[in-house]
Amino acid sequence: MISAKIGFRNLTRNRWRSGLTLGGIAVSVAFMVWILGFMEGWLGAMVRGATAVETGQVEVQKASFADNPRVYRSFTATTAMLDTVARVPGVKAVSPRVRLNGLVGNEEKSVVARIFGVDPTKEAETTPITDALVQGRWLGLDPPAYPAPREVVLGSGMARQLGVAPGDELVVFLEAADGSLGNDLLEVVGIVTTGNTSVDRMTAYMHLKDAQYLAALGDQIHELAISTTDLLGARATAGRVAASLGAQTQGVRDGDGESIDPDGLLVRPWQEILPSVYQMLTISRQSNWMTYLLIYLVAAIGLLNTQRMSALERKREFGVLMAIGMRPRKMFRMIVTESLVLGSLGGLLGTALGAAVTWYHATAGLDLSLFTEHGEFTFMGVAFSGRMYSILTPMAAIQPIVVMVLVAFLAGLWPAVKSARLDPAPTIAGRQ
Amino acid sequence: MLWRMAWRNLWRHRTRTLIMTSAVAFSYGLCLFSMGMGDDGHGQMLDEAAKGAGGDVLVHEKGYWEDKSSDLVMRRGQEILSTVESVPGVRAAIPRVLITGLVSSASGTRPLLLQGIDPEREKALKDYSEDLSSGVYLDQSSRSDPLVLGAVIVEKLELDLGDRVVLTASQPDGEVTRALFHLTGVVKTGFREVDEMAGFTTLGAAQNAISATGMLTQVGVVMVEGLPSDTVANRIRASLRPVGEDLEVLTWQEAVPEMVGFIQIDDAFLYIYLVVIFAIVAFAIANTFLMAVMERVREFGLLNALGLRGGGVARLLLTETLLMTLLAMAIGFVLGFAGHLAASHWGIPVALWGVDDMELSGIDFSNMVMRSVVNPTKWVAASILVALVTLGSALYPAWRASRFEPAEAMRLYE
Amino acid sequence: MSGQETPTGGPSEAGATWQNGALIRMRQITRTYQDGALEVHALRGVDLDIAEGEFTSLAGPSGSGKTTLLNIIGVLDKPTSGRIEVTGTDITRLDKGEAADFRLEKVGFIFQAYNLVPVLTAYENAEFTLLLRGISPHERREKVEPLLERVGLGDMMDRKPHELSGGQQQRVAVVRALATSPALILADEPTANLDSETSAGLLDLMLELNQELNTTFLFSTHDPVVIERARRVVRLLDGRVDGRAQRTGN
Repeated sequence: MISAKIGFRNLTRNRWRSGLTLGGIAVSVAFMVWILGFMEGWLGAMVRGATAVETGQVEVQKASFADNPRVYRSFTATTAMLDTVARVPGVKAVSPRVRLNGLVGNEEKSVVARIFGVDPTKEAETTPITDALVQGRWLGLDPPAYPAPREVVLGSGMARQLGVAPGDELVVFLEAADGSLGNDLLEVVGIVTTGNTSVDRMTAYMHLKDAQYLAALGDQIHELAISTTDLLGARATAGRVAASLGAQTQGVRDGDGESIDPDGLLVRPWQEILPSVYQMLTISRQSNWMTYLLIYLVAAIGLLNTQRMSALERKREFGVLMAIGMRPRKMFRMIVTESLVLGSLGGLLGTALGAAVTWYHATAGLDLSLFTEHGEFTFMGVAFSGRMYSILTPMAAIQPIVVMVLVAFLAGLWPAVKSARLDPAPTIAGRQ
Repeated sequence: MLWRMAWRNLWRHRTRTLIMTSAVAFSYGLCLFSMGMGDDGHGQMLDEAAKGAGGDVLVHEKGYWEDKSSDLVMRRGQEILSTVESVPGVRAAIPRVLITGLVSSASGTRPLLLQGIDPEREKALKDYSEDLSSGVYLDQSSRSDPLVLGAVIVEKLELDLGDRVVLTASQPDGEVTRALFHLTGVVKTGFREVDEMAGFTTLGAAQNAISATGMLTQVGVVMVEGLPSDTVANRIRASLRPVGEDLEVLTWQEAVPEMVGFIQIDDAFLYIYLVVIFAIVAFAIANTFLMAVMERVREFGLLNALGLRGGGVARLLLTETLLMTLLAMAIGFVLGFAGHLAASHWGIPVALWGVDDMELSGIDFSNMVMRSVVNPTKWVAASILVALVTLGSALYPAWRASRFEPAEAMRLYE
Repeated sequence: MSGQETPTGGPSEAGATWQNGALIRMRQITRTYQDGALEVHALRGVDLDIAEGEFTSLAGPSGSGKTTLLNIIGVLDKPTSGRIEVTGTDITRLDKGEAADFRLEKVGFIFQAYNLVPVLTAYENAEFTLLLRGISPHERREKVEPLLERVGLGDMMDRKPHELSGGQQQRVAVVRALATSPALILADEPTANLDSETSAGLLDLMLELNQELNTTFLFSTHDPVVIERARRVVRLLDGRVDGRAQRTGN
């Protein structure tokens, strides 16, 4: 197309001008690419940190338990049920759990604890708990035979409070389903640091069977913690899980969760279980648009300025073109094309630059201690420290340049319209 | 003379000057406004963090803050309290007994952080009676075992006012004990940490519950305004040495370092944004000046021929730039300051962005209203930087302009 | 040929039809415009006929209105009053879009300066008008290449304007003007930036083309080199045709 040809060649006409204009556009696009990649990494870490260990991405519980957790609000989960759920598309793994409140301690101290009774294999498949081990080992495949103490894995905060290490013994008191106080001897076999503050400070993991026995639950459990293949698609997966079980849902479709049978099973995605985390995700995404607005506005002013001055400079040239018969619409299109060329080219440069930096931060990470002497902070219950990793998603790489081309188009409209409206006669006669 | 020419030159190309001026004015105004709001936000976070931690400075038995374990109590509670009170720089010393335990009713058990407080003294930092949603606050109750609980606990445990509540906790000697309380009041603060996990009782009742008469878990210190927490902490440390017990004195920053970390990162990101914006503006301005110089080559050639030397042309250009910068910064300042006034007067509630629950480093900010506060040092520094960037962009073009030969310049056109 | 004669014969190459044989007919053309606070009467009543195949120069001092008249003929400007027909079309009735199309098809332009697009090669500049008309690349090449050869720029087709001399640039302008086979070519001070030798060469070339193709050439100029070679000279003074000094025939 002739307009594109002229547009491209005009870049060489004044190298400084083109260079500076492209530079401004490239910087803004590069920055947006980097910000998007950084936010993806940071938000992803936040969501994963908040959900992966503690709740999984989807939970199945008795509806009354979801409303107000009580020991006796349990349900039976057959092997068939577990298989059915595991086969639902979108489900990665399932872990049956018992959740209890109690006190854990020794002669010197005791602390309030949340006790998770888990199937060690399934829990390790569903959550990244084994990655979080910092001392000792994870729970064994089966509980040790009596009279040996029950195995327990503690959150590092709790371990520190109690001053224990693997091998030490503790006692647990917990509220049983029949109202009595269950107690038993525990041996610490491992310590975990998950990055989730409530897990690290307050949670102790035991064998499912041990916990069921202690709490007089028989073979009942309190929840199925489910990990999904797609973090954001958890709602849909929750819907499918509910369908496979014939259970109720909340937070999957509009209107569900309204009249719930407390005795029936309830399936919830993490967006419903941890609404504050979901909100934070939504807001952070929205704030991206604010950033686009500010950064691209400034870049647009620069582009507008360049195009305007270029058009003014070429008034006579344009006058001749219109005199020999170029229609105003064609003139308009020619100048708009030039703006698009600038926007696209600058956008490509910026995307390349931004993607490179993002890729570096995705692999090597961004050292947080550059910004703060502590190099750590917690946000929404998730601890961040050391390095922050970006994620270079296709969206992060493509969206900024697409938006920039649109902005370039808009910024180029005014000079294009003004040039198309030129009256050739006065221009040529030198009257202007 | 130079100034008059420069000024008129700016307005000969009205649109161009307006475009450049508005770019700089907008960026500068934005810079000031975001710094004002950011500083206010951070200031509030710092205040809340101090409150959330329990005071600007905290005094405990050594190792308590890390462990929060019940056997770490200060046995000479009264002595320590009086000593801290008398340290210069301390506005209020607040005694507390903190118990982590389980609270049970007929309907169940929940974890609880029970604070045994002196309601009068506690007012120096926070007054929970303001959040009372039913019942009476501690100082109004005649009971010897009053208990005020967070609204969520009350709901989950299905409690009514006057109900018996049992606290299970460890005593300082390690024994697990149970103590009876009666629910006298309910608080609803909107803060998850309080509503779901906290309870309040009198200092005496708490001490009795765990057989810790005369002992304190913590003394929270509210400082006199304007003093750095380090200074006061050091003074307190010094004054406590004769007491003999093994104590720790923490500034709140040491107690909640994650908050400090978050604020620093937030600040750092703001600066990155502003640097990027100004980089883009600098590109645009340098570009405009360069084009302007090219355009006015003939004019410069003429001036040269008339006797104005190369340096003079550069001076003219720089004067034009300076005038434009001053104008742009004046407008930008007005914009930024107006924004600051609007924000500090009306405030922008965080809730406006649809956040119901925003928790940072354990502190709840859902109810925060963002206003604005001016940090003069920052504003001056920013102004200098903006001026330098704008003027700096004109340096190369001005230098180019000064090197034109008159004859060559005149010939360039036609 | 005098302005009043009527050439007969079939339609010219441009396919124009006209009445009374005149390509251009002007009656009582006036043009007044505002220049700031001043009212300028550029043309005060011009009566003129131009026939097909003429090689005519409008001559006169600056301010005589020759450029304005040329612009009106080229449908770049509208007269304040009067009638004008070009190739039988009443051009005062054309709207902006129609005027542009008219210029594209029926008129070729050569200006004093800024004729060419600086970033396009000589060939690309020359084919520009054909490109605007939507002619295919193959047909464009067939038309433009021989013309460029004809004007002696056959081996400079890939050069950009800044690589060509003033005279060569004007030749490219000539090719562009001719490429669409217009009925009429208007040249406003085409030699103003050229030295006299180059001017002479350019004019001779245009004279040849005029005789070969029978395309009408109309100049606005005060360059004696051009006036000398014109077969007809129409002198303008203060916005009117100066009846006293008319030369015809050559």
